[in-house]
Amino acid sequence: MKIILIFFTTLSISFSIYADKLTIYTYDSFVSEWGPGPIIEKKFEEKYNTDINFIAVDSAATLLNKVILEGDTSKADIVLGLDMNLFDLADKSELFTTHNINNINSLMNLPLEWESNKFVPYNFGYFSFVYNEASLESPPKSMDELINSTNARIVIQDPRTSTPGLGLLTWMKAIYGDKAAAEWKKLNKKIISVTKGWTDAYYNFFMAGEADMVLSYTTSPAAHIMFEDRYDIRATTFEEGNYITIEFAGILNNSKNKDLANIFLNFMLSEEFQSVIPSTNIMYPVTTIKDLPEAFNKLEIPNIIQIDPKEININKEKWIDEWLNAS
Amino acid sequence: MYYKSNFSVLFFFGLIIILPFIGIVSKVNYDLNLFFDFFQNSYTHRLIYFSVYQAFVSAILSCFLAIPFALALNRHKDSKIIKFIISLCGFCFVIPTILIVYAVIKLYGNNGFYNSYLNLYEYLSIDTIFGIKAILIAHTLLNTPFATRLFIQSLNSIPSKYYEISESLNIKFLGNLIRLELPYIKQNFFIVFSIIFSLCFLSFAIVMALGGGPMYSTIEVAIYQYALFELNFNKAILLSFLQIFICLFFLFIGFYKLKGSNFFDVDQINFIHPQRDYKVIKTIDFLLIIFFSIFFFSPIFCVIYNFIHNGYYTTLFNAKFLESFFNSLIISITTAIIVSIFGFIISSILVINYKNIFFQQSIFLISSSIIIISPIIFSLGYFIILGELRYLHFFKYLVIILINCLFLIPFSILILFNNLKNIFLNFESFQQTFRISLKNYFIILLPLIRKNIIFVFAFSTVITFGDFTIISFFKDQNFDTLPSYLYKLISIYRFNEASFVAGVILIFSMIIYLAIDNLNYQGKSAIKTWR
Repeated sequence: MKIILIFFTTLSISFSIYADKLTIYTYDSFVSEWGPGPIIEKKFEEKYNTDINFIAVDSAATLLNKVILEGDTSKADIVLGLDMNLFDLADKSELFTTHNINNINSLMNLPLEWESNKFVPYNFGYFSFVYNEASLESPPKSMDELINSTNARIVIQDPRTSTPGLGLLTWMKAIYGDKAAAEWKKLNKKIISVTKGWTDAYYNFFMAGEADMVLSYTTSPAAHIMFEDRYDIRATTFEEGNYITIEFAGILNNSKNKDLANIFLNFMLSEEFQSVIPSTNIMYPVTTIKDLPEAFNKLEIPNIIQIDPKEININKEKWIDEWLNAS
Repeated sequence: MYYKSNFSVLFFFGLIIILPFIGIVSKVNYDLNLFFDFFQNSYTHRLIYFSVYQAFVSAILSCFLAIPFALALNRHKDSKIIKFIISLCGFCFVIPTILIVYAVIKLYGNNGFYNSYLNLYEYLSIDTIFGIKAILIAHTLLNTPFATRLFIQSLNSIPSKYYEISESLNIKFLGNLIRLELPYIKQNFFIVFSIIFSLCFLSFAIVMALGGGPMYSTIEVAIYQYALFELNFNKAILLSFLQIFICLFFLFIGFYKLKGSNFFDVDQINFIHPQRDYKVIKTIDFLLIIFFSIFFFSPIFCVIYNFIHNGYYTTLFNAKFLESFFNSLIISITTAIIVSIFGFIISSILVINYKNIFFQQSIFLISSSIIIISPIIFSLGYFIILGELRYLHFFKYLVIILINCLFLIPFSILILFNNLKNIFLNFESFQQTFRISLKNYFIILLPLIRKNIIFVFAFSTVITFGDFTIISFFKDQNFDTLPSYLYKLISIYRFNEASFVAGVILIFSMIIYLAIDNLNYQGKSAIKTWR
């Protein structure tokens, strides 16, 4: 009798899981053909006999805007791709519910302590200015040097639409505080374009030779080593420290598939998910994985610099205005 | 009955105009401090300054470059090639701006044609083309041919008698130029300048893609950025009101003279310029025409060359391309059908009520106001008012078609009204003599206005097919039209596929345009060219 009951319970759970489609909002590069999305989707769907529907927006920074705008009517179960600069806003939005992962820090290998029971990190990295050492002979060793002495055409991303863009805004604020506006004015003289997203800046400008330096991640050179066997693309590590970015996902309060969504968040910390991250999202995994690509061992680990997410949330609009006025 | 239809027309027009404003007003935060802070902000001042500055310089450049081009073309307008060039000048009014963006990057970018072969960046110490340079190049490429066509229209209105008189007075080339041709151009210079100024002021795709960031942003782009990037509807709305205020100013300085088909009217005159065969003038003219044609039509050559050269024809079977293509097709054809039908109905009601000046003027004032108010404001209003419905494909189609119709119906009225009125009045005595009912009378008149309706249909199709502004508000990962798909491909550095998509957009637009400009209207046409 017990066996029959277990059988039918398992069957009904598996049917209910299969019947429910997990809708995940994320940013476009995550689900692009070279991104982690397609591999992760296949693995998860096979393992849990379910269906994932990724819905991508143009950029990570507009991801939270979309969910806030949709409010309770959002179709999403999970939002994947938020970062620390949006942490407090997301946390206070009351749109997200708690996950069921216990002792999350013991499962991860993050350089910082993780203190949220709503969000689960899946990768991290450090913002950096990437350059080609063949064309930029003396790369800057500090933000100060970049602003005051480096002669380079720089392309950055808009902080209103892009995670690295917002990262640079907070990075500048972390280093210069109240003097950030003045430093922006100096830096802007070298900025030839502010793009909407990372892809545009990296490929359309930097890789196309339109710019000498691009705002990206310290891990970006690993992609060139892994896929092109190119060692000339390098990332700067600054004396002041490089701003850390931790990307995370959370379950929406109004999700009708909270069980399945929790299964996905648990899956995010598994070897199957984490092993895909370095070679597709070109970021550090949050857990210790067996086969970290060799290219990652060649990368320099910078000192961490960070601002309290609460302070970011309070001042974000003011800092964006400051940046706009300095541009 | 007619009163009822009058009011239903006014009500319909009023409702679709007021609806987005209700959306905008519903989101306004009535905090005066916010208002003052926003307008005291130096970035807002810069937005206004840059919007006006780039529009002013673009209009000046376009107008001054158009004058010698128009003069040279005017002297040889009996030649078939020149007729074709003049026809192509009109095409620039309907060419999708996203194609100009594509061409500017392909021609003037760091890896573009000119820098690759001439190493211009190094000689001219240019760091990047993005910013004011790219905006001015794109606006000049887009508007100079258009200005040329308008100036040719002015030159064409010089009575041939004047040339005969000047010849009998032995006035030479320079005399003709200074005393006859330039004054005619001067007469229309201000209106051409103000039209181009307004078009550049409301330019969206070019500033968005080639501006290079907030330092070279305009009010039009900033409204979009505040609404979609920051979800700051307050700032977007404040800028919208500012934009409306400035646009209303245009309305008063002469933009109201923008009257549909008049833009393309070039009368059919068998005229031979007295000085066209002077050797020196002929040589200079042809060099100038060749140089200007190569420069101004370079976007068209560039798109066609890359379309053929890259041969990325497999894109044709790409699901995303097909989906975008069919979306564009459905939206443009449906819009064109609605615009043609409603344009005809409204024009008919206006004609019937041609003695009711108040009603007529109200419709014309509303029409002109719609034309000069940017689609971005209506898009923002509908974007707000639709709420969550905007994520549904059906509502996306509906609202995009609605906004496109909103902008094209006034054009169609301006195009159809005069012709319909003339025909109506010409045959009115027959109607009364034979006691033909109004309904039957319009059925009889329909074939006579058919060419104008086909023109309205084709014009609406081309404009809607190439729209990038309205779709920007409503596109997403699963919903694109061809121009937004092209923008996406350019943004992710897929220039091979982008070349194919740009080629398809150009070929589609060009076929329709040239058909309406040259083929369908042999003889008496909505768009007249010399024959």
